[in-house]
Amino acid sequence: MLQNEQEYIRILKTRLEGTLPKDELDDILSDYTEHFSIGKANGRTDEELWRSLGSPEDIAREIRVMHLVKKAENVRSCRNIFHAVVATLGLGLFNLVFVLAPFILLIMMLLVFFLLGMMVTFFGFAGIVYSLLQLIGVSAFSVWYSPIAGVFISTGMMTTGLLVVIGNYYLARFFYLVCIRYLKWNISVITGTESAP
Amino acid sequence: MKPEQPQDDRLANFIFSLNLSGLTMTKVILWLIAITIVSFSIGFGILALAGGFSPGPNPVATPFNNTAFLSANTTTFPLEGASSASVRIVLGTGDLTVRGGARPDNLMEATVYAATPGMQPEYAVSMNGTEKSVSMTETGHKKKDWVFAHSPDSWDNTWDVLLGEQIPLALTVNTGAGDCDILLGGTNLTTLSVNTGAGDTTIDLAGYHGGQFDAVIHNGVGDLTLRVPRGSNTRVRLHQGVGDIDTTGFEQNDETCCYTSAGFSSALPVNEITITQGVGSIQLEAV
Repeated sequence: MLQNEQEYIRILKTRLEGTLPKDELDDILSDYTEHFSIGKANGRTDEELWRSLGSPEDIAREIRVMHLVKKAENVRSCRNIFHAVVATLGLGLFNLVFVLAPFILLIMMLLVFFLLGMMVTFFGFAGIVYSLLQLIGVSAFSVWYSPIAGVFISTGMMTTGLLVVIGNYYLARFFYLVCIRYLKWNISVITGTESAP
Repeated sequence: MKPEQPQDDRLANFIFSLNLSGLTMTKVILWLIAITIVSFSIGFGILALAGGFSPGPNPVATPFNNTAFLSANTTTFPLEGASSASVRIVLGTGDLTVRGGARPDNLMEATVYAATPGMQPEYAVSMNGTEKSVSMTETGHKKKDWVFAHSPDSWDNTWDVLLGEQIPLALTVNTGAGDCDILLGGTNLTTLSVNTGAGDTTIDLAGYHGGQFDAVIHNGVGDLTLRVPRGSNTRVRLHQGVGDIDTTGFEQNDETCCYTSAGFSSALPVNEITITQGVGSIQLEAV
């Protein structure tokens, strides 16, 4: 494989097309073209510049990950954070343990909380219905020791469930931000750009 | 004439009339928290007032009927001209309540609440002259497999037995594990025999106006409460292993571990009660 400027730019363009917006891609490609031009003006060869910049595949992978993390940070959505996490996995297999596993655990935890909240809400609603049916004398629904107490306790259950669901939403938002910060830190460690605390 | 609004406009107007613009998420959460606290407070307050948490013979401690989720099956045993009766109840695991209050023409009305609908006791009925005998036995008991023969569901086994209050009655109760409440204030006893394994037992004879009776109570592990009427001329002999004894309205006799109700006279018919207790506290009350 030829290690010249055109090939370098071609690989970068191929790897980043479809991920980055056109203007951003053009900016990046022009930066690298300029880098090659300055280097050659200083008497360095294409091969030397290629080696100093690093593999275009690795560069494209890092740019892609950083772009997706930034996108997830700017536009909060499940899809964006998922893409960012998957892209981070491409930086190293060890991220299966350091990124994917905690991410899945987090998702599972939020799902469990959500289902728990929905369940409590549902049982609260069902409890109100049962209390009212017991109050009007339908004996098949006589599950409450005191149906009037049942109405209030069920209402409390239902609102508790709703509070859990709402709390879960805020928890998800908090974990989203934590996840973004963790991904950024992970990328900086891998690419060696981590700044001292 | 006012033109009819399209359906969407009506809905939009209705939502607009709710004026939800000022309703932020913080307000929603605060409202929900307030409703939750108030609802639980009122709900459990009503439950407490309704007797759900009182230390009576049947404390509920949950907002639900303790038999609400179990299938019920009631079996009735009519008197059929009997002038006296003996009833024997044998329950391996589960909660038992025995009380008066059967309909006047019935000797016994037994309601069995079981998690497994097919799990019903065996009944044996016999008539000897004018004495009627009824035996109610948990199916697993005869095989001596109270604990291990059934699925864990079988622990959800509750028996509620109503006894007739019209004729003299000899009652025998044997239970393995579970709480036992025997409330016989309205009945007329000749003998009472209670043998329990593990669990709390309450024998409440408050308001008893029947004839003289003898009672033998063996309680294995668990607390025992015995309640008799204040002027019932009752003598209680205690044989206790480990546990406290608390008495109300009883006087300790010269004889060790012998208690008599206030105003006791041996010249009058005496209700003799013998208690043998393994481990657990004993509460004697003359009310």
